[in-house]
Amino acid sequence: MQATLDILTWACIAIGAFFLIVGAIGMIRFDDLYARMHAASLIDTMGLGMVMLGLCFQAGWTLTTAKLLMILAFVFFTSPTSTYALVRASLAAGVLPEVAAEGRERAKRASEASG
Amino acid sequence: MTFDNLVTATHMSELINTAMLLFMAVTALAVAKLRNLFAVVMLTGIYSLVAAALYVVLDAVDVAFTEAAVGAGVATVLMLGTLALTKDTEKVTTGGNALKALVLVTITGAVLIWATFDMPLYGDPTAPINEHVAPRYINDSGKETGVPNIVTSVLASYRGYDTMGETFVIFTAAAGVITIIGRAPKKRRRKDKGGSEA
Repeated sequence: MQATLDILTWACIAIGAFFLIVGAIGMIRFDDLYARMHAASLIDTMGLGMVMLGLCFQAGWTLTTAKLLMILAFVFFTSPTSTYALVRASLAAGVLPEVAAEGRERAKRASEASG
Repeated sequence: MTFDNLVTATHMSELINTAMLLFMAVTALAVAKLRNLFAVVMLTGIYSLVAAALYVVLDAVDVAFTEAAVGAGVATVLMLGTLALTKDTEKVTTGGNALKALVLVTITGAVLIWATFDMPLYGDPTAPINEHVAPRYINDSGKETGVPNIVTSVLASYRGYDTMGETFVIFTAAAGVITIIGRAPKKRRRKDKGGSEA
């Protein structure tokens, strides 16, 4: 039983760590503001969620699990709200997202200029 | 009659505390009622200032520092900056059920006040919070850490890991915000070089 819980915890934390790293790399490397915010949202949902789930497996049916789940619920409420407010403010300020066709155009021009 | 005797005989501290709490209550009511947003921002700064003064009277000077710096300083400046981007009067909204809100707030306030009946008296030296680690901090912190201020020794030495975590969090938040929002775009559009700029 404990071994199963340990394996589950390892799996959850590993998946969470993967999403955390992917989100962080995306946050730095993307060119578009909205793409960066999407990458950051990966950290809050999958990264945090999976790590917390793994910790819940370790804590068992105790008060610690309840606290972890409450933290998770709190973050799930506040993170989309702040993302939404930020995106709305960016749109109101006039920052437009880069559509896929423009991205391909830009990449082609970059490769032609350097190649 | 010495000054200390005069203070305790006339209950001067309690009077000052009550007066400042009344100030804060009146300021809060004014913040809720006023429509001019500039006045509201100024009033929130005044609220923080009176709160900082109250903390000084209650002998929590470090908390007063933080409250004055954050509440009366940074928050007011940030709100004034936001106010420069929007209109300066509040939009009047109708509707909403004030009676239900009043009932809910009254019930919550009553439950909170009822919960304070079990707490020990304010400043009681035999209260559990003054018997656990506080005597050790007061007696030994000078010898053990060498820092003259007990609050600083608790923040920096006894609970140093908490302070490190706080610093991590604030730095990561600032770095993340700058990474996501990016810097201001350059004025000239780059036509031929499709570089990677924010």
